Amino acid sequence: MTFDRDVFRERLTEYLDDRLSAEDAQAFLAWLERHPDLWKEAESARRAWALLGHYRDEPVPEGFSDRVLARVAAGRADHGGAAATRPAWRVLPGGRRRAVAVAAAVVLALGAGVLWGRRSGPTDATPTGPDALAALDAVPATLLDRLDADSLVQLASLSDEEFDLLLAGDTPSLSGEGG
Amino acid sequence: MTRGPLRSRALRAAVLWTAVVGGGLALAGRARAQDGTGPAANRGGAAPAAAPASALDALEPGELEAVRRRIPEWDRLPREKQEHVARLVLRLRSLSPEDRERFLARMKALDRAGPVTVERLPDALRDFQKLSRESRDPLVRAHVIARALSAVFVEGLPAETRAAILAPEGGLGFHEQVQVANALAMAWKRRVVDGLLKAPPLAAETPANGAAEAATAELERLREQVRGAGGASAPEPLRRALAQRVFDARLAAWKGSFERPEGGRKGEGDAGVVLAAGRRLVAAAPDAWAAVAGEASTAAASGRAALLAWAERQQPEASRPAQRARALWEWVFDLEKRRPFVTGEVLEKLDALQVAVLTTTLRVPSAKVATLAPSMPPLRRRALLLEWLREHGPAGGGPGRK
Repeated sequence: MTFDRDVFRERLTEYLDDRLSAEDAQAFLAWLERHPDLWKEAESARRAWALLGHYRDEPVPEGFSDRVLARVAAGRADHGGAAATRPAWRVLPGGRRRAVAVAAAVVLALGAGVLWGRRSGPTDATPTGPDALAALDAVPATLLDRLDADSLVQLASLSDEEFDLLLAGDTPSLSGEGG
Repeated sequence: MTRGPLRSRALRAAVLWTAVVGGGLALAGRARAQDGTGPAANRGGAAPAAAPASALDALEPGELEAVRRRIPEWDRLPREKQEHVARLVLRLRSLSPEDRERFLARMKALDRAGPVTVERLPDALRDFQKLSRESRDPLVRAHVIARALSAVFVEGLPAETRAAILAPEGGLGFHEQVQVANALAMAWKRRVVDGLLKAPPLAAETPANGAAEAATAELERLREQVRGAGGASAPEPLRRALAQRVFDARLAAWKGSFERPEGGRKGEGDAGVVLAAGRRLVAAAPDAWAAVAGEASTAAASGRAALLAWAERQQPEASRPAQRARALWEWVFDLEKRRPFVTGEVLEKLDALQVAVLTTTLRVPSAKVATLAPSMPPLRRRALLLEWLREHGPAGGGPGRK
C-alpha cells in the first residue's frame, strides 16, 4: 500500500475506521512520523473520531414511530388537512406572522451556520491566547528568522531526552569500540 | 398513505435548513479564509482555494506587536522575511495548548543554554531529523547516561565544591557542564570495560528486551571463544571484543531505567528519576565509578579550571577543539552581558582579553574584531558577535557529528 499526500485523507479515514491491516496501519504511522504537518492533522481527526464514538444510535422505544405518526395525522385533521398540500415553507398558519417566523428561522439558521463555521474549524486552530503570545515572546529573535514552520512543530514534538540532547550538542561515545 | 407527505415535507424543511446553515458556513469559511484562520492557514496550504494571500495579513494585532518586540528591525525587513516570520507565528498559533506549553518550556531552556546553543539549534535540528531511529537511540541513551552519572557525581561532591562549580558567577557554563558530564561517562565506560577485560564475564546474561538476535548470538559466540581460550588468559583483542559487547548489551538493558511513569515526558521529580537511574548505573560497577568519581572530585576541589582540564583529557583528541571553542564562545557572550556593569581599567582589561580570545583562539579575523568598538551600543556589539559565531564558530551540526 502506498502513502503520499494525495491519498493521505483516504488512508487516514481507513486507518481511523480500523480498515487497514496491522502492517498497513504500522506503515501508515511510520509514514506519518516523517510528515509532522500531516501528523498534526491526523491527530486532530483522531480526536474528532474519538469524540464521535461517544454518540451511538440510540434505540427507539417500541411503538414510537406509530405514536408520532398518529399524533401528526390528528394534528393535520384539526387543520382541515390543508397543510398536506402546502409547500414546506408554508406549513405554519397565519400570513404575516408566518412570514416573520420563517424569516426569523432563516436568520437564526444563518447565524448558527456562521457561528458553527467560525468555531468548528480544524481542532488545531486553537484561538490565540496569552499562551501563544508567551510562546512567541520566548522564541529568540534570531530563531524567528531562521527556523521554518515545520522545524517549529518538530521542536515541540521531540521527546524531552531528544531535545536535551539537541541542546547539549555532544554525546559521549559509549557504544562500539571507540572512546 | 400519511407517511409520504410527512417525509416529503420534513425532507424539504431539512433541505431548506441545511441550505441556510450551509450558506452561513460558506460565509464563515470565506471570512476565515480571509483572516487566515481557516484550515489552509493552519495546515500549510492543504486546501489552496482557502489559503490566505499573505501570512503577514493574517497576523493579529497582538501577534504583530509581539513580533516587533522580538525583532526591533522588523519594519525594515524585506517583505519576504516578514512573511517567513508570519508563517512561523501562524504555525505557533495552530499548536495545541499542550504543544505550545512544551514549546514555551523548551524555548526557556534554550535561552538558559545561551546564544551558542541558540545559534546552533537550526542546524542541529536539521541534522538530527535526518538520523534514522536506529542511529538516534544510542545517542539519546548515551546522553541520558551522561546526565545520570553527572547527577550522581554532583551529589557526591562536598557541599563547598558543589556550590563553587555550580555557582551562577564563576561556575561551569552550560557547555562546560555538558563537557564534564560527557567526560564522566567516557571515563566510566573505560573503567567498566577495563574491569570486564581483567575478569571476562563468562556467565550468560539475560539479554535486554528487544535485543537483536544477531547481536545476542554474536555475544554468545565471543563468550564461548573467550571461555575456550582460557578466560582471563585469552588474547587481549578477544577479551576486549567481548568486554565491549557485554558493555553494549548492558547499556541497552539499562535504557529501561530512565523511562518515566508519565510515558517519557518530564514531570515533577525528574531530577530525582535521573539521579535514581544514575545510582543504579554506578551500583552495577561500583569500583569503576569509585575510581572515576575520585579523580574528578579531586580535580573539582582545585576549582573549575582543573575540573575542565580533567574533562578535556577524557575526551577523544579530535573532539577537543570544538568543545573548547564552544565553551570560549559561551564565555565571550557571558562577558558581553556583564560589560555594562564594569567601567574604567577593569573594562579595558576585559575588552583586551576578549579581543585576544576572539582573534587567537576563536580565529575571528583581526580586521573584523577591530570593528568591535568599546563605545558601540550593546545590541550592535552582540549582533556582530552573533554574526562571527555563525561564520567562525565551531562547525554546526547535531549530536553525533563531531
